Amino acid sequence: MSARLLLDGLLALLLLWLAWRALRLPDLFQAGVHFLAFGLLLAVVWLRLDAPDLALAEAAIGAGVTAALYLNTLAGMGTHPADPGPAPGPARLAGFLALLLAGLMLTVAAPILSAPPPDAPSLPPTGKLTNPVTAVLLDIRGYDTLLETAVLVEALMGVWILGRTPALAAEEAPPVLTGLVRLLVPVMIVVAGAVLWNGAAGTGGAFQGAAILAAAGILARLGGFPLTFLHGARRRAALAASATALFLGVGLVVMVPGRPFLDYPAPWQGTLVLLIEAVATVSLAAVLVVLFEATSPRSRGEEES
Amino acid sequence: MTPGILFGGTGIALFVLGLHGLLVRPRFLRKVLGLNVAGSGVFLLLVAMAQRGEGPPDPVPHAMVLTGIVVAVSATALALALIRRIHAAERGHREEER
Repeated sequence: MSARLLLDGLLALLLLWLAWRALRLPDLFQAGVHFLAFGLLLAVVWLRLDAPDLALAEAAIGAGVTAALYLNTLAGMGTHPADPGPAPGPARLAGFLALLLAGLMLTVAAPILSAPPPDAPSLPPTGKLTNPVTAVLLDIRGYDTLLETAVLVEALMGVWILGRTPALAAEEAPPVLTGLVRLLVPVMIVVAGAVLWNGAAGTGGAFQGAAILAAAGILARLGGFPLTFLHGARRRAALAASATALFLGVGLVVMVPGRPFLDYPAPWQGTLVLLIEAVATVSLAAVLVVLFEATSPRSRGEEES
Repeated sequence: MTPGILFGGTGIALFVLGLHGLLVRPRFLRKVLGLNVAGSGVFLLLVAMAQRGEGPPDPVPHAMVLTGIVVAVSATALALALIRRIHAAERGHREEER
């Protein structure tokens, strides 16, 4: 048994164990921390599966932001409430059905997974975008990404409909945390920009950069900084909508000489993609920080949309 | 056993685990975790299927999963907002009954 197989096996087992614990521990706080660890381990698994772009995004958004949202919501709901657990009878039946489903899925998936890999279909030429994932996201399947930015706006609207989101006020934070934040946040902003820039040719891209930027914003909030540039309902709405608006605008403008929607002219491809990605990075990061702020417990007299 | 089969199987197991947790556990916050675990399982299966042996993996499933991660966090944020609203409404009810 090779070392790689051993490593992969251990990773898989740990993933399953962490997920099991996250769903079974009575204390919801512990469950959240297990979920965070699960997400970070999943990021390592993405590396094992030759998906470094996914690893960046998973670590920051999938594990980091999701766990931050969850734990902040939990904190706002009072003392760590325990989960009483399901009734044993239905749970056992559900467990049996779940095993059955897993067996069925494995039977269907196994031939596909163990078959020799198909010949690589030739993707259309991607010009300067030598990172294939970026090329697919922003060029070949750009429409899907456009809709994805709209999904984020919708989520924000949904959260707003459910109640106003608190203003990002300055708060007292432990001085060690504040000092750490002062050191980390500028570095993270620069790294986010570097990841965004690198995404065209190498690993990285808009979503990874946005994730790092969002993490910087959330850290700043945890350190008590008010982030006044994110105040005001109109400004937040404008930031959230800017990615979709720009993407849509670019898609429509390239139609003027008679091209199809979102078909970038070859000499402009690099510039347009970078423009869309840059705006998407800032917009997505802003949305994530506002969504994080929305999970904080409300304090009276400090609310704005 | 290639990494593809191993992690594909793990993805299926995670999906079923998350689905079971989503359906069976009574607390809403736990259901959110179950939904996320199930989503991660699906992503794992997709990326495992994107493996191409020695060559570079198929980028289209990778792009789909990247989109999926962002959409999952959006859905989680909305779900948590709904949970907060329910919690606030229940608390208001309880205080009225006193």
